[in-house]
Amino acid sequence: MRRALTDQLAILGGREVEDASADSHLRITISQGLEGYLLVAEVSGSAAPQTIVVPVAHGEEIAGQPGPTPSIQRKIVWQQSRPILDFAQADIDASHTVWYLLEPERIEVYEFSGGAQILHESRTVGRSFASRDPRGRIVATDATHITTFLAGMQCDSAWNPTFAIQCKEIPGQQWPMGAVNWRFESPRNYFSGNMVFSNSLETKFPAFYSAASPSSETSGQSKSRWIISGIDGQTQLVGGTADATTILTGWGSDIATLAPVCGSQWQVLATGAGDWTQPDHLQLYEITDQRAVAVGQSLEVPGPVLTLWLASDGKSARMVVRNLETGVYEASIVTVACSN
Amino acid sequence: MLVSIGRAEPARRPRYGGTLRVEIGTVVNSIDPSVAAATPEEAAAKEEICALIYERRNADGTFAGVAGTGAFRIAEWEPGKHLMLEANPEHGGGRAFVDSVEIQMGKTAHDRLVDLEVDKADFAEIPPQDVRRAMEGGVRVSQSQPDQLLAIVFTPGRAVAEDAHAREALSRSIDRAAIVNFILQKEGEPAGGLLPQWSSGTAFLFPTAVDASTAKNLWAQIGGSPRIVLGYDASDPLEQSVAERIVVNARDAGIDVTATASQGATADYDARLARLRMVSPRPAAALARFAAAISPLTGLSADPLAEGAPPQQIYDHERAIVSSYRVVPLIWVPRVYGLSARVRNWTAPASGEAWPFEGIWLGDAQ
Repeated sequence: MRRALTDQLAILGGREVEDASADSHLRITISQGLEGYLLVAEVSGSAAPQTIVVPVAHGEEIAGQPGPTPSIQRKIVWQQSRPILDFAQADIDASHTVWYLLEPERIEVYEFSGGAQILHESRTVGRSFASRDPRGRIVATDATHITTFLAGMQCDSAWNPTFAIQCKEIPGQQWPMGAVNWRFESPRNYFSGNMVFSNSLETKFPAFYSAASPSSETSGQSKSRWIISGIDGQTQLVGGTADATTILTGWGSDIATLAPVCGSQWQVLATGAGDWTQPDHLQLYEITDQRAVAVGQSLEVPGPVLTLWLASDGKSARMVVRNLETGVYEASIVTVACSN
Repeated sequence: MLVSIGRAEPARRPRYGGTLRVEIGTVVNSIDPSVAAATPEEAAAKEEICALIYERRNADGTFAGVAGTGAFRIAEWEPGKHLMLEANPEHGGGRAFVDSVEIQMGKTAHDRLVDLEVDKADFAEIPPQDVRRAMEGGVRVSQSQPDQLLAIVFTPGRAVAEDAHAREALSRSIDRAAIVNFILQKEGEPAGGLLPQWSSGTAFLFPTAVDASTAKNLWAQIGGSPRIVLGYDASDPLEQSVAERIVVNARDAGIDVTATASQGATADYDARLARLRMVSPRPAAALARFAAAISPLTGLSADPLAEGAPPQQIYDHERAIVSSYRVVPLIWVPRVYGLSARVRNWTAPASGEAWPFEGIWLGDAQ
C-alpha cells in the first residue's frame, strides 16, 4: 500500500524523502466508521497543517458487530418407557417438589424431598375415546391443584390431604391456552379452529394442531396475529397490517411463542416436518410483517416431538420426545438463551 | 390473498382421513379364517387381511373372535376381486388414521408397479427382483428382512413325486446361490431348512450347496423315463424365473423337468413352487404354521409343535420335514412394498408382523 502511494505521488510530481529534508510530512491512516472505510491523510510542514478524510467506496456491505444469537437449549427432566402426554413440576416448599406426569390413561404423581423420592401416587383418569395420537395438557393452579385435559375429559386434582382426582366428560372441550381457549376436536388429535377469548369473543380459524400469537413482551405486533399449524399440513401466518395469509414452509405441527430474547421480535419455536419415523428438530423463528426468519441453530432431537406446550412462565416450553433409538419418552424443558 | 413461499410440506402430527389404495397379486377367495386357503400364497394374503379385521388370536396364532373387532371392519367384499375396509372407531388401540383401505386383488406385478408409478396405488407388493426398476421409476420402496420361504412342494399321489430319489435328486441339483445372485439381485438368501438362521440358530445344519453329481446318481436309480412337471404361480414373475432356472439346473444333472404356469392348487403338476411366510419370529410357532400350510399340499402330517418347544425338538421336527424332500426349501425372500409419496409413518413390518395400516396416515388426506 505504501508503494502504491509513493507511485501515485510521483505521478503528481512529488517524491518520498527522508524525514529531515521533507517539505511536508504526510501520515495516512486507514480507518473505519459506522458507514464505511475512510482514508485519513494528515499533512504538516511548511504550509498549515491539513487533514483530509476521504471515504472509500466498497463493493460489499460492511459487516456490523456480531449481535447476540439466540440458542435453543433442552434439559431432559424425566424419562420413562410409557407415553407421556404432558408434565408439570411444582415446588410445595423449599425442600419438597412434586412432579405430575400425564399418561394416556392415568396421572402419576411423584414427590421428592432433598432429591429422594418419598411418594408415588397413580390415579386412573377416564377417557371418552382411545386415540393413536393422544394429546393432553396439565394446567397447574398451584403446587397442589392441577387440572388435566385429555381425550374429551377434564380432571381436577388436589391434595386434600391425599391426592384425589375427579374427572368428567366434556363434549366440545375447551383447553385453556393463556388468555384464549382452544376447542379440542374429539375424538381426533387437533383443535377445531374455534378460539374463545377471555372477553367471550370467538374467532374461527382453520382446524389446527397448534397455534401461536405474539406474547405481551413482543413489540410492534398485533395480538390479533396468529400462526396456525393446520391439519392440512400448512402453517399459516394470518392477520396483521396486510390483508394476507402467508404460508410458512418446513414447519411441523407443534409451535409455541416464547418471550423474546436477543431483542423484542415475536419469536416462535416450531417443530420440523416429517413423520413419527424420523428424528425431529426445533427451530426458532422471528416473525416480522409477513416473514418468518429462522434465527440461530436448530436443535436436533432424537425422535418426533409429541408435545410442545408453552410453559406458564412464557419463557420456556414443555416438550415430550419419543427417542427412536431407545423407545423412551423424554420430557424436557426448552428455553432460548442469548449468546454472542 | 394467499402468499405461498415454496412448497408446503406435510405436518409431523398424524392426519386423519383418506383411503389407502392397496393392490396385491394374490386372489383371496375367502376371508373366513376357518376356511382353508387353496394355496400358501392365498393363505399369506389372507393372514394379512385377517390381521386387519380381527383383534385377537388364539394361542396357536389363528384368529379368534369376530371379524370387525380389529382396526378395520368390512365395508364391501367381492371375493377374489375387491375388499373395502373402513376404520373401526371402537378399536381399543384407537381409530386408524386412514378412513378406509381399498384392496384390489389379482393385479399383475407389472400393473402394480405401473399403478405405483402413476400414483393410482398407495401400497403394493413388488417382486424383489423388480426393486431396482421400481426405484428408477421413482417408487418409494420398503423392504423387510428375508422372511418368506420360496420352496418346492411335491404333490402327493403323483408317481414321480412319490419317488424319494426323484425328490432328493431335484433338491440337490438346484444352485440356490445363483438364484439369489442373479434372479433376486442378491435381495435374499439361499435356504436349506424351513427356518432362517436368525430364528432357529440351526439353519447352517441344512446345506444349500448344489450337488449335481449326487443328483445325477439318484436320478439314474429311477426306472423308466420320469419327468417332473413343476408348476408356478402364473401371476408371479419371481416364481416363473426361479422355475425356469430350476429347469436349467436340473437338466445339468440329467433330470427332466418342465415348468408350467399354474392357476390355483388343482393344476396338473408333480410339484409346485410355493411361498411360505413366517407368521412369527419364534421358531416353534413359525415351523408349526409352515407345517400346517404345507400339510394339505404334501400329505405330511402337521404334528403340533408345542409353544416353547426346546431347540432340539424344533430341529428334529424341521429335519424330519426337510429330509422327506416333500418340501424343498430354495430361498429366503424379503417382502418388498412400493409406497406412494403420500404414505406417512410407514415402518416395514418385522417378521411375523402384518401390514401396519392402522398406524399410517396419508399426507394429503383431509
